[in-house]
Amino acid sequence: MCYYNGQRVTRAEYIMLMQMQRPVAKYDFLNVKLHDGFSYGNVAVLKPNDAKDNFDIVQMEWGFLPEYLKDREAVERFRRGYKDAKGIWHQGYTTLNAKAENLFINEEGTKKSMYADAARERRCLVLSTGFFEWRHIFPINKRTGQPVKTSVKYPHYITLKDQEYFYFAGVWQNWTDKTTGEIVSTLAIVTAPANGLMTIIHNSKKRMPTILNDDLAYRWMMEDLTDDEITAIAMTQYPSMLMEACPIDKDFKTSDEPTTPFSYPEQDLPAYETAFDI
Amino acid sequence: MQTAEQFQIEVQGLELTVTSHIINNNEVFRIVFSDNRPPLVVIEATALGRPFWTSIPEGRQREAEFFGKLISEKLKN
Repeated sequence: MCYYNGQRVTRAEYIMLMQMQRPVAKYDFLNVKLHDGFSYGNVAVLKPNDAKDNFDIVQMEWGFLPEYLKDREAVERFRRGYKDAKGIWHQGYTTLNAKAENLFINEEGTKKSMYADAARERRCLVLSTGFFEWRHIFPINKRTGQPVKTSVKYPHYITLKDQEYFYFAGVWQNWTDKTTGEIVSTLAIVTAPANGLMTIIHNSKKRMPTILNDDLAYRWMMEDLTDDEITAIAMTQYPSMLMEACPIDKDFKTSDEPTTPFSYPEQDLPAYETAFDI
Repeated sequence: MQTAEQFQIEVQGLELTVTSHIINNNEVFRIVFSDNRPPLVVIEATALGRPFWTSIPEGRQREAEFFGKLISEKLKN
């Protein structure tokens, strides 16, 4: 429970009201004929206040940045990779997601993870109404009868049943641009091994964002947890039965209604059930 | 695209203009006053399962409850 205007409201209601403040401030009430329902802006993040008895809703840059990066130029190299003076290519790092299994130790198990301090001290929740993933289908080559080498990617929109908002577990860190002095809050969304539904949809990586119910979301954000407890919550697989998914248009990114269900022919995109080995 | 609805509410013999708007899929009402007060934006939210009127942004709760009630009565008719 939180307070808005002194009224005790649910967290979902508080979030809705806080989220309304920015668009209302920007809304041109004189231009009453225009309404853009998709002006959602950047990633909205719930972050506990210092007393950890309530939370603030803030904007953060998605893509966790280590403190040692000097400026935006270094960030670009870090994210996209770069060629050094000797012509040697250095691969970039993707820090949009932090694997639950590697919050404290890197994938090779050789050193401390870049997310370790944030996982212990700066956990947050990323607000979501739904997310997108791609299902990879390998069509059968009619000549050889074998699957082709390159998959066709079908985007899907995934939501939770009967829940307008839900929470991804996140970890955040302030990053300072040493050239300009600008301080930016950056974050990574925690991912877990895919549940049954997400194994079928996100069948290339078999991962899913760590979606937390209200109780776990509260614990993740507000409570002092041990490393084992943090990992256990981070590994949460939200139940498939409580999720919904539908295919959407491949051009959804440029669509005014990107989440509208789209029907592909059955022979192109088989039903989810056929993905199970029976 | 949505065209705002406009109507009047009456307070002590004065007519105030109210417009309704859909923002982020929520209906809000904007009340324009005849004095120098800034316009008030109100929304009907719920607390403990019951609807209540509140201002956006926070800070004008008494006005929101007063004018929200008038808007509710107006829209019932």
